[in-house]
Amino acid sequence: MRTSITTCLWALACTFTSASSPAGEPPLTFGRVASLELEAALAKKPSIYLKLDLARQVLEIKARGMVLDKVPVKACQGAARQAFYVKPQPMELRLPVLWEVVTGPGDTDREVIAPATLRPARRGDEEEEEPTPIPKGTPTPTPTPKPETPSRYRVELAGNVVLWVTDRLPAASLWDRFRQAVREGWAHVFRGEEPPQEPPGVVLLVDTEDARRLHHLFRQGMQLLVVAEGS
Amino acid sequence: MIANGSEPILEVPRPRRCWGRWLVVLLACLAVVGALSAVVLARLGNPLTLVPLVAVSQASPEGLDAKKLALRAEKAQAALERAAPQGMYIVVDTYRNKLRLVEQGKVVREALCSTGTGIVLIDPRNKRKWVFDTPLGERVIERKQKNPVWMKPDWAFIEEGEEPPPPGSPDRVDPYSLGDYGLYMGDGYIIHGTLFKSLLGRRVTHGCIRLGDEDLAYLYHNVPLGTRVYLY
Repeated sequence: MRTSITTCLWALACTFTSASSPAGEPPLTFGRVASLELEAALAKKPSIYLKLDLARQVLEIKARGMVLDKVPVKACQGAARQAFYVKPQPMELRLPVLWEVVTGPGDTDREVIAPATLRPARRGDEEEEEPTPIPKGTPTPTPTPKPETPSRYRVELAGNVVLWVTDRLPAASLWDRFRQAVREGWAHVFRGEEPPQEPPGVVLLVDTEDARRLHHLFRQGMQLLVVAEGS
Repeated sequence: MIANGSEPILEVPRPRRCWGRWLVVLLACLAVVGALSAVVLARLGNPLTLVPLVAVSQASPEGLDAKKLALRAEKAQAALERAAPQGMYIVVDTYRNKLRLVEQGKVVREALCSTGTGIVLIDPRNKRKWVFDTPLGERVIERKQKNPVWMKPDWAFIEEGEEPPPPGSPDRVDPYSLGDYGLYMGDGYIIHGTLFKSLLGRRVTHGCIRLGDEDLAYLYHNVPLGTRVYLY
């Protein structure tokens, strides 16, 4: 995967107009200038934004042009729902591209507290009521465990694109796809369920802990700049 | 065959049973039918397929030579440099609950803090909703206050299952919970102290940032007004 991206970038670097650039920096291509301009526009706003560099395999959490944190990306692949007998075609991603989160796990995965009724507030000078003693032999209630932040989730992006953040790539060998296709076909014929339709997406493979710490950042309005700079 | 040494007895061959063979044929037929059915069913499915991602650069517009390209890059780079904060700024990682004070690009103080739970509270009377998030993005230290007093908002009562007292009621005044100092970031978000020091490092607040006493005092005495705070 990494090889294919690198090869493509190398080819691009050779093909497009390039100007001289300081040592250690990637060659100045139109793509590089476009990504700089997009980022400069993002840095004008007081919001946090994300920058995914496919060449360096890193996702940066940024504000005002400076890096606040970095998340290493293990792999980045395209994902699409295709008939299993069709030969998978590579997905082209025209870079740089700016994606905006429409709905993310930061919007949806939330605990809700809704008291049924309210009692009159206790006045500041009132003594706190003694709690009712619990009869002996009553089993101690087990507290509800707090749900762990998920490490696999889906982010809906504007332009009908889906970003999957995961700590394990889904099984996608020919055999796995065949089994999945049969299951979906069975559900369609015998249960009347339509096969799931998903817009094309990008799968981002990161460490479990990294997936969890990105989770709350994917909420409505978050901007994700995707580049392939290799700087 | 010779029975008891006398005349040979002719043995009539018993008809051979071919159940085993039939069973194999039957199983083979079932397997073929099963496989064909699976293939037919599979054609109705739409499985998730991972494909290589190929990065394609945007085509350069005509008439854009290397000189113009370099000029545009320089302009964008300058805009990025202008946007970055100068001098001192604060960075808060709301996942790890860490606060860093950065000066001239170097971390001069790192502290454990507590940030928003992300819980949603709903008022049963009118379905009004509060989200206990520490806001993401850039904020500014607008005001600093010694011995801050917390005027408890409605949600502080509703969360406890109590009806909120009328606005301005003395029951709303809490001079203890915010600790010794408060650094106000606007919209009611404050960097303040806590009575619950064992909860530092966890997401337990209603959106404010809680710090331990020493770290809070350091921030109060060293961070000037107008300092930018980056929350992510």
